[in-house]
Amino acid sequence: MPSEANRKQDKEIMAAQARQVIDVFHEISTLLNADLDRQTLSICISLIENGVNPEALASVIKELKKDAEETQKEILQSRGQR
Amino acid sequence: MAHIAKLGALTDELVALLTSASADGEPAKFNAHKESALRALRNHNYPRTNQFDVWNRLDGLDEKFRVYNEDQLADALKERLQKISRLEGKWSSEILHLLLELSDKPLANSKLKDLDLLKEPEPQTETPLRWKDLAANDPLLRDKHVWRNVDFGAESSDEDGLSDISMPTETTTQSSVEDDVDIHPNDHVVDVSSEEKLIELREAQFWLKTPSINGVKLETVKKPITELQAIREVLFMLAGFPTSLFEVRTEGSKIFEPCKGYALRHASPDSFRKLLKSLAADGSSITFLKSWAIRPQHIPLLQVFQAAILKHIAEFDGLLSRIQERFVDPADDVVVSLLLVKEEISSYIRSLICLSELTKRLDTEPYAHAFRYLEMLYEQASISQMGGDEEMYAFMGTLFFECFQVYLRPIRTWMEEGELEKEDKVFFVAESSGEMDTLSIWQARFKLRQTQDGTLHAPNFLQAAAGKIFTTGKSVVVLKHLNKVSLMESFERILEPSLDFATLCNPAALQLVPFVELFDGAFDAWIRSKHQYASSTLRKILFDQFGLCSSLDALSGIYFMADGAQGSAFTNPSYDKLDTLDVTWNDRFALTELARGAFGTLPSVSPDRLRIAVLPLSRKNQDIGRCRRTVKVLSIIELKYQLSWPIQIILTPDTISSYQRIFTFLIQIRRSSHILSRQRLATDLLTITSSSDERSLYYSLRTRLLWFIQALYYYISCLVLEPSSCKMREDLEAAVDIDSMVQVHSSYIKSTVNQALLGSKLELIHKTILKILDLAIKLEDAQAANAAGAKDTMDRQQEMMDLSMASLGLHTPQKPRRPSKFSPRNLKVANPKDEASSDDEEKDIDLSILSSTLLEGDETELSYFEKLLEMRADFDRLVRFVANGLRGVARAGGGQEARSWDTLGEMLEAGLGDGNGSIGRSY
Repeated sequence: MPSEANRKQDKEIMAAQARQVIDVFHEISTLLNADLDRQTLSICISLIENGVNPEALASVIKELKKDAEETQKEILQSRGQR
Repeated sequence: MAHIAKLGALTDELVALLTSASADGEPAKFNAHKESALRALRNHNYPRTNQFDVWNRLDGLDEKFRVYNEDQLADALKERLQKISRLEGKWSSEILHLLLELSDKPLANSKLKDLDLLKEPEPQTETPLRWKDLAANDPLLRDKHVWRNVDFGAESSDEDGLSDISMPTETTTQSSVEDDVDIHPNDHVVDVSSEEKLIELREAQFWLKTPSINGVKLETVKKPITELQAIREVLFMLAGFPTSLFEVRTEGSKIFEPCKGYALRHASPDSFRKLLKSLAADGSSITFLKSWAIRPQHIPLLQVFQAAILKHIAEFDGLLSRIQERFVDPADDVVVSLLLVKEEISSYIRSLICLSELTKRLDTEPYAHAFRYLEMLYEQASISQMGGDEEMYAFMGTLFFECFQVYLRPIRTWMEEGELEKEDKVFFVAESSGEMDTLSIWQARFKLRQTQDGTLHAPNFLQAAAGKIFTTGKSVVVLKHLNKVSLMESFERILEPSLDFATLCNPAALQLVPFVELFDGAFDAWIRSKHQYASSTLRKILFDQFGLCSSLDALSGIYFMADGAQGSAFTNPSYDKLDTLDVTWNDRFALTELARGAFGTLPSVSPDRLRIAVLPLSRKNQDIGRCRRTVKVLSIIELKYQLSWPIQIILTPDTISSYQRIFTFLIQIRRSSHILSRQRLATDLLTITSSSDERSLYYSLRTRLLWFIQALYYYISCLVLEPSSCKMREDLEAAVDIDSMVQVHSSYIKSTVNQALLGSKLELIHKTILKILDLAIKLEDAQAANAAGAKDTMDRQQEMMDLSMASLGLHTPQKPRRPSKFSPRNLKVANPKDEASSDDEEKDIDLSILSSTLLEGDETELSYFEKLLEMRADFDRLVRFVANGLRGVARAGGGQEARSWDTLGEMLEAGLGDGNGSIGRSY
């Protein structure tokens, strides 16, 4: 059906647009050295669109990253000692 | 609820991504994270985002970028922000807020090329050339415009999707290619199929294994390693790489030390450690050598040394890799033995260690010249030859000659062209700064560079040959000045013998000949091949073209008055002028005319070059009357003969002054001789004027004086000047090069001066002789005065007789009347009247006019006879003094001069002894 085709096209267009948006934001995050990969960024964007406060989200991300780093260090140390 | 569920799901994902702990793997942790995240997200105190604040911050950031000169970064950011604002997202400012919060020092850390990293649409395996590689190296390539227009070989069609955005400078363009393939870190993971290889690898990494028993790590037990691993470590260490088996200590230069933690299973730890220690010491030396060899150097001499060292190190590295190849890819069965490896590399290592020691010594020496290492290599070569170490000898010898070739370069240019490089501080010949006239080319323009303690600035094995090198170069320079270089080139040059180790120290044939000898001989031959032609050409030219011989003839003719007649023609008029109290006797121009006239007729003398310079008279001699009484005054006359400048190289100006002194002495002697012999005895006025006692005294004194003067003159001209001149000419002919000619001439003139009693030792004797010569003048003056006085009385008597006769009416034979003279003893005023003396012939100069001047200083009126007696006594005394003095000095000294003095002394004593029987010979 043409409407379906239209809708599909619309969907594609929307998808393309969304991808563009994410691209731009990804580039900005690289320029600002925010160290976010695409997936994380998209999740963050989704979270924010769901009303999460950006600052809170930023602090959470920082904490999780810190935790992750520590865990990594522990793993490496344990590996090194072996 | 849906909202919360969504949140939860999203949070799950977030946590999973960030902490890489999955819900399955570590649920406890995961849940903990998730809970804390959710809590944080919900219960927070942060205010809502302030869009204006966000945009302000972004503007501020943009400005900051520009201030810090990161214009491209700022532009890129601005572009993206513009796009965002165009897209009109509801949450864009929140997202931007988030990104701002997460941004971590963008100024320092953001790189534009990270953007390019984002755009990796094509899979990596297809293009060997990667965008980011190119972009990393070449900023121009970041501009896609450039990329698209030129097809660099490795480009694939996947690039076509990139859009072409015109940007002013290197800004990144945006990726409009959308690929489904996202580059994800996981893609880089290598797929390891087999576990065994991994285990093998881990085994081989022995440094990671810690011996442990039951999980307890044992620190003090040494880790066992296989010999192959040890060999590998050793080879790496020798090549200079960091290894686990050897620790590196850096104290100025790297020093290797074996690590204590390892041991071989089949060897005792001590022996292993010893072995490693020696290898480590070798490695340290080699590393030091390597670091020395790459220091930047400006002097070519050191550069060639460094090049040679590096070559050897490269050979050594090649050897190491060949050994490694044997182990890595064994073609046959290979024995794995650390000792064997050590043995193989030992010869190489030995030479390298030797070099390393050399460089260490070079470093520690203060004020080392650039060629110090040449000296050290030379020493090493001879030492190793003496010690029978063939290999080391060959090694050092080849190295030495390689480096020596570079040292020879400036020597070669100097000897062949006579040219020096301006900035060369290494070569030992230096040009003096400042303008030099041609005269001093030989002597002063070039000098040998010397170190602070006075030794020549050349390697010690070249010191002997340095003189020859110096003179060769100087000869070439002089020849160039004489425009005679073409002559030299027309001679066929002998090809210079090659100086290198293989030909020189051919081990088969010349094993036992000391290196020092071989080198000296070879270098001598090399120098001779260059030196000969320059030097001999110059000699030839000096002799033939510039007439060295005729110059010598001229000098002897002028200064030594070799032609006596001409000499007299020059001297006699001046003497006469002196005696007639003519103040113009020392007139420069008149004398010059006289000299030119007299000496100009000699064949080798060109009168234009001759001139007389007259020194000013001292005040006490201003009065002509006084100054004629002593011969010392004649020393003010100086002859100057101009020689051409090449001749002056050999007959140096300072020797000319010695010639002058001899000339002065000769004219002094001649003066006395002249004054004595002028009076013709045929017209013997004395018979009338003096008694026979006086006469005999006078005659004997006169004879004595004449004898003395003649003996002296004979001695000087025939016994001193003539033989030494002949000898000097012979020596000059025989001399090999210019310096020896100069030497010959200067020693000749020095010896002649000494023999002619003008040396410093015989000053007293010289003065005495001058006194004797003065005596002659005194004698003649006394005689003339006496004669004049007697004449006067006689004339008066005659007058009276005439008068009386006349009164008696008789005639007396008229004597030619002389105009009245002053009464000799009363008048003190000097009043020279010339007409009496210019009466008659000019030779017959009457000394009677001087009678008045005679008495000026002489208050006591001695009679003529007493004066004669006094003079006689003086004469005896002085001559005896001279003779004794000469014999004494001759006894004290030795050599040619002493012999001549002895001869003269004997002659004088003989004369004395004969004349006076009562005085015996004194020995």
